[in-house]
Amino acid sequence: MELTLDRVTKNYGSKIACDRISLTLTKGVYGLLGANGAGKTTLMRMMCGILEPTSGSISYDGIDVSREEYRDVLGYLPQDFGYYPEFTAQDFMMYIAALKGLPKAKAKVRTTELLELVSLKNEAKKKIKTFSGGMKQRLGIAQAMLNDPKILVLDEPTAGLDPKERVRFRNLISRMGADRIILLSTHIVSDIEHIADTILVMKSGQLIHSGSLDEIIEVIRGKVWECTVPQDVADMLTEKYPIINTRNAAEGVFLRLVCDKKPCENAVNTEATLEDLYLYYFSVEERTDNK
Amino acid sequence: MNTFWNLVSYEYKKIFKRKGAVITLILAAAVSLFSVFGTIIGYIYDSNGEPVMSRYDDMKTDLEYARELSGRAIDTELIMEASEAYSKLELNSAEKYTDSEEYENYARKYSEIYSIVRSVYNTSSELFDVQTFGNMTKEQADNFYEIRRQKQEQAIMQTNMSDAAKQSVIGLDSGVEKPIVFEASEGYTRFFAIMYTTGIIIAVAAAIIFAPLFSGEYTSGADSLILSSKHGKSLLVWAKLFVSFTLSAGLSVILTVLTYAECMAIWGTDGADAAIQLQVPMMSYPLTMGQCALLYSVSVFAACIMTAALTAMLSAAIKTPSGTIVIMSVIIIAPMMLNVSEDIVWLYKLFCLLPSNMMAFWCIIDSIQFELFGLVIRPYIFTPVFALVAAVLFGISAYRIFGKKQVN
Repeated sequence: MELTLDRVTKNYGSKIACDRISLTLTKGVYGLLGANGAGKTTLMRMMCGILEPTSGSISYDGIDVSREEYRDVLGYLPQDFGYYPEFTAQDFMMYIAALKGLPKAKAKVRTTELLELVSLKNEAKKKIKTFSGGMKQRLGIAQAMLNDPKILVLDEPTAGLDPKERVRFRNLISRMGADRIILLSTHIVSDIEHIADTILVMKSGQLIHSGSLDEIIEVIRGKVWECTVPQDVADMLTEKYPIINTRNAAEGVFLRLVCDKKPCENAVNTEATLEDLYLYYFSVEERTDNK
Repeated sequence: MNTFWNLVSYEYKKIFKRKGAVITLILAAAVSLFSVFGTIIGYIYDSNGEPVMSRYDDMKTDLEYARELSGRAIDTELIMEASEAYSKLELNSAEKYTDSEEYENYARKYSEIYSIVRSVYNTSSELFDVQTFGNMTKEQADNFYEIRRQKQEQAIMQTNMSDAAKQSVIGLDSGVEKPIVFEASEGYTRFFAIMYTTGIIIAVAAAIIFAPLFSGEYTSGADSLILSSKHGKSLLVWAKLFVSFTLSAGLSVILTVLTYAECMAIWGTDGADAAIQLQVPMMSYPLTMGQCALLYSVSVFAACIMTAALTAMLSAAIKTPSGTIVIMSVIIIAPMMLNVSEDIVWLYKLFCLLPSNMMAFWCIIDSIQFELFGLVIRPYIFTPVFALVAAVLFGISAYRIFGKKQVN
């Protein structure tokens, strides 16, 4: 089971959305991180065969993504997936099951199972137009899993879910990742931190990092500091370094920042997290842009 | 195969869950009904604006007169009988002759005979009016069919068709039985006129209903799910096309049968075996009213299928349903306001192959023939065959366009 991306590039005129991305994905959960416009959705669309790369190729065990055999083993939740407002949740699931080629009897069983899994069993007969954003998102997750896919591509699957649902969904993904390839993108870094075996970081269409959480964090290990300082010092530090967090405290201003060496007298070195890395990368970008 | 029918059922469900589609279907049926019944609602007014009788009674009177003459040959005897009746009219410029008592008492019965005779004797330089008809000589009446033949031949020879096509059309008239036997056939005459409206209604309804067939998926964002699913680029597209073909076919059959049934119910079923020359005296096709009704219905049916397929193709190519509706409206309505000269035969015949013209009776029974690779093909054969072939090609194009759609 191997999904191979070979120098995949997508251009929109002179804009490069994805730039020569080469990657091999095997069983496990892959978390795709990147700011808006980094090229995550474009990459995912190409992996789902709904957007042709300008150059390069994507194949699964030698099967090109444009083939029906590939789509047969694919599950996809797009960022803003379309639905039919007048359909009930059950109708929608049965329709997607038909599109995925599931026999009616099997489709019925899977629909019941999955709607229960995403806590929509009691809403199965209700029209989708009456659903909240979170309910629609759960329905989207359920439809992606209908054909028990070998490759599951989820574009911001936890958007709109409440914390309890998010945790439940995270655990579900973790379990499923044991015997399939799962690629998910999200802005909620903690989701990726908890479930991704491999983290992919995209910036300006390029894959800038790929590795386990420990490997990725290595970049800023020992560089994350926390301190509480007066307002004028806080302003000076904010100017000089990427700030991860800032908060008013009784004794002054609390700062969490990334810096190669101790930024001030009372700064304490702390354990780096993925969120630190994410904010570090993308605040550096912002700072460069602003300059 | 089960999956295909399953997808077909969902595509039907999608259409009938859309309020716009349901309203369009109801409106199409209502307008079609009204276009028939509307002609017998209201009153006939005289020149002073006073109501004389209801349109329904007027229609019944005409029908009774026509039935009285049914079965009689249009020969010298009948023409002279009609001429004599018209000679009793006292014509003055102050009053419309149809409002006069003499017309009601003597001439009205023969109004259809006058209408047929007039189209033969009319010339571009001299109008064959009621006065001329009233003064007609027996010698003129004896020459009715000869004058018709000469005029018909002259009209055909003046066209820019090939010689083979001209001879083919001229030769057709020998198959028309003469003298032509008069039959009451108002039901068919009305059917030929009203079916045009019915055809346009079906075409417009098809354009509105099928505009979102593919582009509706683009605007809703469901295209990502569909195109990434196993059957989304293949079986589903066939299912969508099957639905557009069957629904437009069903709509066409239902509204055609409805229009026919209404016409027959109101104006009577008489005239199925009558010569089409009673409707178009100069025509050379040896066809009956019934045969023409069938050929016309087949042509409208094929035109509706073609319109649905063209809508489906545009729907696959254009991002929004409204874009498709605008283009289809132009394609359907614009030819109704245009005229193309018969002098440039190929352009004129191409014009006849536009959806709304395929639904016009004059295009189906036109004397100008289609000529392809040396073959002379009758319009009532070429038109439906062309429409069905075009529908298949549009369908294949829709399949390819949707299958290659890029989700940006």
